[in-house]
Amino acid sequence: MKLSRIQIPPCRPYEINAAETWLSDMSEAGLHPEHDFIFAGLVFFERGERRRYRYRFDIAKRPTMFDDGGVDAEQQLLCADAGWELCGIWGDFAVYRSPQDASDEIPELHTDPALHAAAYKKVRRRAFGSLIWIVVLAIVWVNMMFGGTALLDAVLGVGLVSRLLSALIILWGLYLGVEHWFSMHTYCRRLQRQARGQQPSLTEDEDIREERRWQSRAWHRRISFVCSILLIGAWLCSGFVSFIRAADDKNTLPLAGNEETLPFALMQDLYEDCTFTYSAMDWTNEIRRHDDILIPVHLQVLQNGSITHPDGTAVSGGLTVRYIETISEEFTALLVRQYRHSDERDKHFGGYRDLSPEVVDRIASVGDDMEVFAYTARFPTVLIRHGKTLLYVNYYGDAYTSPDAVIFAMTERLTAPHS
Amino acid sequence: MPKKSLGTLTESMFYVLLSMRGMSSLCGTEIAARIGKIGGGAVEIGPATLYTVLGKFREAGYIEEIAEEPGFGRMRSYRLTDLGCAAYEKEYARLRRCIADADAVWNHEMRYTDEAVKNSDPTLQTV
Repeated sequence: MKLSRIQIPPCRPYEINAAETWLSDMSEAGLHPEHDFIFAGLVFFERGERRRYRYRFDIAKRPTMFDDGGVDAEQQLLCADAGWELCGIWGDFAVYRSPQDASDEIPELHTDPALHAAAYKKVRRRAFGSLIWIVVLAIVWVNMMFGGTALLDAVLGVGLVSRLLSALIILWGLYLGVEHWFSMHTYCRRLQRQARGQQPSLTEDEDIREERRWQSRAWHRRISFVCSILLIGAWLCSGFVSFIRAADDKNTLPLAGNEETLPFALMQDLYEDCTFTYSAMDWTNEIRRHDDILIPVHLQVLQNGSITHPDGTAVSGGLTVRYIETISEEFTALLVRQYRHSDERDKHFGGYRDLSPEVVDRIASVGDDMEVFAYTARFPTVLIRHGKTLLYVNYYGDAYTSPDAVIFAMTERLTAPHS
Repeated sequence: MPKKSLGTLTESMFYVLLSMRGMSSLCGTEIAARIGKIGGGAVEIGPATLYTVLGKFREAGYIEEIAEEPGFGRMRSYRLTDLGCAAYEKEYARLRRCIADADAVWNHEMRYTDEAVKNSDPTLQTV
């Protein structure tokens, strides 16, 4: 026999009746699963003579740190002595087969529904355990994204697309976890009813319908398999792209030669009639771009140098500005909350400053859609939200003793029409 | 000490205990063969069921492992413990009681017609 076909299974391993019937049908068509026939969710078949086999699933051990898992030697020997050949492990199950035409001599793998149900309760417990982990992961994810600063970290780090794809993967895992547990629960209940003699025997038609269930769901299962692979692939790619973009120098330009009108103020804009001299360290004077689908404009400016006033006095200092335009005001407001939350956790957080009456008047004149916060978090910080726009400004040096100049200059630029 | 009582034994469990009674040691395959012989072909035990029963009995202390051949092709041998014998005796007595009850009802009904039974003993009406 030689490898002749790789297939996406039309059912999941915990859909036990459907999976057993599918493998039987494949054998009848001359396709027999290879030894250890499952890899990366795909089933590997070898072509051979057409023969009807009975396939039966039994519980297998999960691999642990101290155990490779799989099938216990005694379990495998008992089955082999009885005429059941081990084909491989599929999910939580060991898959055995025996020729259909020898079914008179070879007993069924499971002959006691009560014990069968008891054994499969272990799989149900495992499914429940996995489900709990996924639920915990989902709760942590939601809490991090909306309660902590993960959304902000995503904006500043790997990018939102990657984070949103990870959310989809968690949701997908949640769906699979529920489906796994529910399938095992239903199967165990059915076995228990059989053990109590309460399960009515199926008519021939019902029996056939039950067995052919894998055919009705085949496309749905195969499409969902492809989608899950694409989802994981997209997630990996988005992380990789974020990494490449972060490392790409094209997104980082020197600030000194910039001729673009920026939608926020720089150090030279804070005072009238002053001249600004860049520091000799190029890496402290840069513009970086990190655009994202949900954040169409995202600029980060680092500026460092000295200001010389008309009277000849000079002061040195620096400014870092993060300018973010998102797709909605709510999203921007959420980022503002996370910025504040993040800064408040800083041990160097020095508390909020009361805004001067002039600044309050200025904000009031702009309208309701502007929020301004001034505080010290390691450095004096100004946080401004105007509609969908967010401006996060850190400044340092002896030039700035009050946030007023920064707030005035920034809000003026923010509200002014700019190209 | 058993971790938990197994309660009422299923037919498979009972036959495993029955097949091991009086035997110094048996491996799983021998147990399955003896059950087939005892039951005259009417009772058979699947290998997965047998493996589950042996695991449960080992856990409950009804059987103990006495030998194990090294290597992957090992087959463990077991013998019945006193606890296992007691469990067998208890189940045997329960089944005897069931049979005796059934016999008593059957003999009683054979002696009287259905109507006479219903008129004379109301408790038997539900039988």
